[in-house]
Amino acid sequence: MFRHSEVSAAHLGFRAIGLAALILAATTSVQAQRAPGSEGPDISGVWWASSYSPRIMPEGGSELPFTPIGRAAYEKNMAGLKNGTVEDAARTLCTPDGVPRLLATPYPFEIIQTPGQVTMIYEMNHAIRLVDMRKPLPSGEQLSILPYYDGHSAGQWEGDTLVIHSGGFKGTMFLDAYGAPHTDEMHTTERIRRINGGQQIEDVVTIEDPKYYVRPFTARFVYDHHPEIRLQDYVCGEAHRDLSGVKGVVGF
Amino acid sequence: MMRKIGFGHISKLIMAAMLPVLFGSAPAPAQPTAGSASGVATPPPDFSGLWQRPLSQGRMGAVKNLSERADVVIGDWQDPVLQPWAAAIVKQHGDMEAAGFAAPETKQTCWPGSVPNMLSIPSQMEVLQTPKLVTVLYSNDHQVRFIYMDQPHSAHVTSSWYGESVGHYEGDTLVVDTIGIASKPMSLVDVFGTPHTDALHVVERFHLINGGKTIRVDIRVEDPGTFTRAWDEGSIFNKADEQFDEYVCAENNPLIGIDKSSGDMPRARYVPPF
Repeated sequence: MFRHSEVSAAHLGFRAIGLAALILAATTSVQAQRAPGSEGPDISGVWWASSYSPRIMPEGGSELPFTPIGRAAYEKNMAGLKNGTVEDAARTLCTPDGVPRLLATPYPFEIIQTPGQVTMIYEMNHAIRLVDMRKPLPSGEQLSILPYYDGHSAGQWEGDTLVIHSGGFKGTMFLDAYGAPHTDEMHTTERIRRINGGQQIEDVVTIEDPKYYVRPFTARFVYDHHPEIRLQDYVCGEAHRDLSGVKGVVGF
Repeated sequence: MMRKIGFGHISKLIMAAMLPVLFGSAPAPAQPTAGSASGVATPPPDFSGLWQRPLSQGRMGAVKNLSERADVVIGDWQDPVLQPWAAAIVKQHGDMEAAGFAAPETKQTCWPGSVPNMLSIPSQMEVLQTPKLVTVLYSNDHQVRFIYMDQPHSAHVTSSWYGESVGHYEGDTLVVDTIGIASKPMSLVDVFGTPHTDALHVVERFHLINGGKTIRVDIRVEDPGTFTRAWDEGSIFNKADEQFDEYVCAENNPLIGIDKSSGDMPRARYVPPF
């Protein structure tokens, strides 16, 4: 039998190895002194996109700038998703989506700002992203030791814009629901700010993954402020929130 | 689709609305935050940061563990705290374990931990404290709980896995009152398989001990349909100087020999985007 204690023990061991190398990512005593409050412009609250696209749309309307092996991986994913030889584990098993697919979510999400950290909680599959505001992102080599589905993120404020750098992703995931691929070397930079008098926020994400894409490309996501709603408990396989108000949603 | 409130829920809603009256332990609306006798407001206790429930804490729940083996869980189904129907389920759970099978249990099967069961998982726990909202993140399957501060329960609570939690500070203690925890086959009160009804009411009292290095949570559980009396439990979380894990239940599931007929891992209804 496989028990929690054993799962945890094995996991703790793995974590210890990861932590030994992830020196920069180790929590410092500074975090212990966190108190209620906020840093930087206030982007906290519940946000919800009014439209959804299963395909990532590069800014400028261009095609995804694949390298030859990137295109081959895309075509393999596209064909495999159709004939069942490739599984979209984020939907069938409910593993986390990762960036940037997470940003296309048709469900609401909440941003919480506390000293030293910006936390994003996505209703869909209760994905959590912790953005460390006190330390830079460790190097790609360090992050590769302990990759996360949702990656590792660090951020800083540039004026009214929250800039988030993320890396250390697992390479088994998709950029979008069509199966656009990425490697475990992907790096994303998000620029998040309030727009339209503060009633919306935009997240402009730049994706860099030289093995699969010949140049960085960006995609833009816009979310409306919804202070009147609370995030719901989302469990795979159960009925979820009504998404009929979100344009482009089919069969979520 | 959004859940609709039907006739079946009305009795539960009435019960939920009456619980604060019946038990007198729900927080009053708009409780003031922590204050002192001199009238000068003192800041609320600081629970923020990362904590870890130690493995040495052992099993926690409505009844005692009869098993001497760490990997076998047998709840004391003869404990008079259990109503007969609940005792039958706990016995079935224990019999399965004693026979060498892993009885389906919330976390093994990747369902949410619920309240108070989540407090029994040896997981990291991160607390985010803001004036209106206390958010509790568990690294174990990236579970999330929201505690809405200084406000009453909703007039109509839509039942869910974690229910509706409202909180307030009483001096150095965060008091959290939770109702609306949906009764489901895999929504269990503890690791012994103890079930509950929709009237489950949990009050948690979080406070710091050990010079601020440990959170102790005193838990009171009431559910007259399941238990013959209210019962109390406790859980502790130690300050953790480490990184928040990404722990995805779906990854580990194939390693667990669960009985698929009783509690399969939730799977999404997959609709290809083509």
